[in-house]
Amino acid sequence: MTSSEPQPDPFDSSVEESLLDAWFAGNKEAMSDLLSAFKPRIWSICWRTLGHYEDAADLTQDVLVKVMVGIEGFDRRAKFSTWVYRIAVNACMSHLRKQKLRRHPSLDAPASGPQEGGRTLTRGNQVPSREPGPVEGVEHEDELRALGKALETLDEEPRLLILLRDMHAVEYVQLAEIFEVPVGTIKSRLFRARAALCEEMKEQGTGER
Amino acid sequence: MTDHESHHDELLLGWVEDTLAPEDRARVEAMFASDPDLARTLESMRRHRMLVGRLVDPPVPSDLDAQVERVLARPLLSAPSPGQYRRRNRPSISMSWLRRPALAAAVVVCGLGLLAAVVMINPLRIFAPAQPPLIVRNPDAMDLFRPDVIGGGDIVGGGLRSGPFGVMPLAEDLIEPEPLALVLPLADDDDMLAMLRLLALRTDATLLVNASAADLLDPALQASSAGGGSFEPPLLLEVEGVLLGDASLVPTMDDQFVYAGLGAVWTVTITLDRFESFLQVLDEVAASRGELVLLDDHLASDDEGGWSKTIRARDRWRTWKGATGDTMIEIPVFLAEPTEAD
Repeated sequence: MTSSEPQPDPFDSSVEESLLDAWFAGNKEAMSDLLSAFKPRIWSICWRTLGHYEDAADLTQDVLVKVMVGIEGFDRRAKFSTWVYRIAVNACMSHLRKQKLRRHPSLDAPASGPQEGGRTLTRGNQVPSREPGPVEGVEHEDELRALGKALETLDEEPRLLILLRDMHAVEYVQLAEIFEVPVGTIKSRLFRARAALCEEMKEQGTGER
Repeated sequence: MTDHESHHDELLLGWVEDTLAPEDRARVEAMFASDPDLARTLESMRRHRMLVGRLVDPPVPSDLDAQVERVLARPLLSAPSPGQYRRRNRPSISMSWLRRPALAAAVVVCGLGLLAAVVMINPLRIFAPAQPPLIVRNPDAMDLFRPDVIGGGDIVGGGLRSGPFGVMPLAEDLIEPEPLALVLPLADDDDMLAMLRLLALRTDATLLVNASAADLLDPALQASSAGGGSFEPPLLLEVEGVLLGDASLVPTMDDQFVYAGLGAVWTVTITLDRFESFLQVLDEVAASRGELVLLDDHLASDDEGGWSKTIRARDRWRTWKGATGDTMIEIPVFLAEPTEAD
């Protein structure tokens, strides 16, 4: 059986809590550490949801500023990570809603990204590089690319559910708080999101191995 | 979805994520015998879960820290540097104003009938688009807001008369609420836009590029404007677009046309429960830039000659007592030469 565990979250929640304690106690540097830990995750969510490099950078910046401006009002009833993810998710959903309304060119055109070695970096053409196993090789990378493209076809909520759960190891309870629905509903939606991803992978001819 | 279906999904998800108790796992695996497709699908889900965990994002943009630090460290003490705020893929705002006379002419030549129809439907709220807004790019614009001018009988935005902005609707016909106006110094649009973005970001306000006369050419917007009415949600929210904030918190198309007719380039909307913090941030902007002017209720007829104020509009706060916190306040933003001081 293949291991189904996602990558472990590199940032322990007890560290998160102690940094938060330190910040509320007046240690300003604690915020820097907190943001350093969350910045890649916020970026990842924005990038994977928007698929447009500049928009994702703008939105990441907005989310970080919102976190820093809003932290004084953070009442700690939820985990800090839940609160941050919720800000990021709401920002992404809001951005996409507006994008649909204004018929943003990026919806009709290929996603833009930074130029690297003469090619534009987009979600679809990135070569994943996280510990590619010697056995998996090119086939593995093709499958990852197909998976990235299949994810892009999902609606934003199922896509975010899968990303938060599988890339960021967010717990069901946190997901329920982020999306403001009961845990049972989250599980049901997550399963349907996985089913939709399977269907999309099948359509791409990479669904079953 | 029934409870049974939901429970079934949870059970299968538990198998995919390997979180089931042994007896539940056995139940699921018992299903595999009679349903090989289910087995394959769930195995695929497991594999996808593993693969998603291995997706790699591009590096975090290297200038992100600097951007955030710049916004937060001394956000209001100096003008943002060029490119500090990324412009998105939309037409330049300054270009839209430069285009405006030509487009307005096109409206006159090609759309007189169309416009007449719109005006007939809603005669008091649609301005004459052939008239470029006088306040924009007008170095003497701020003089129009001086109390002595106002005291002389021209109420900005009110009265169906030939005033400084041309023919205006009567004050009582204008749409509520239109309590405030924000005047920014005539300067580089990027600079102004960056400042407004920051203001909106820090106060959860919504920043919108107003509809313009040229937008009347768009049949969809026309229908929205004519048919939506000022008391219904706008059918089509965007022209050039919401630049920041909640797309549901924007003025109706009617309002936008009125504001654009007055010469307002953007509109900031803020809910009442955020208004106090909005004013505080605005104070910071004023303290650092000394150029912003928030005009207190330019539609009021009982202004006692002192309605034109710098920044503070706390007295307006009192007038909203009893209103709910989600009451939307629309603040049209003008560009003008900052000749007004106090």
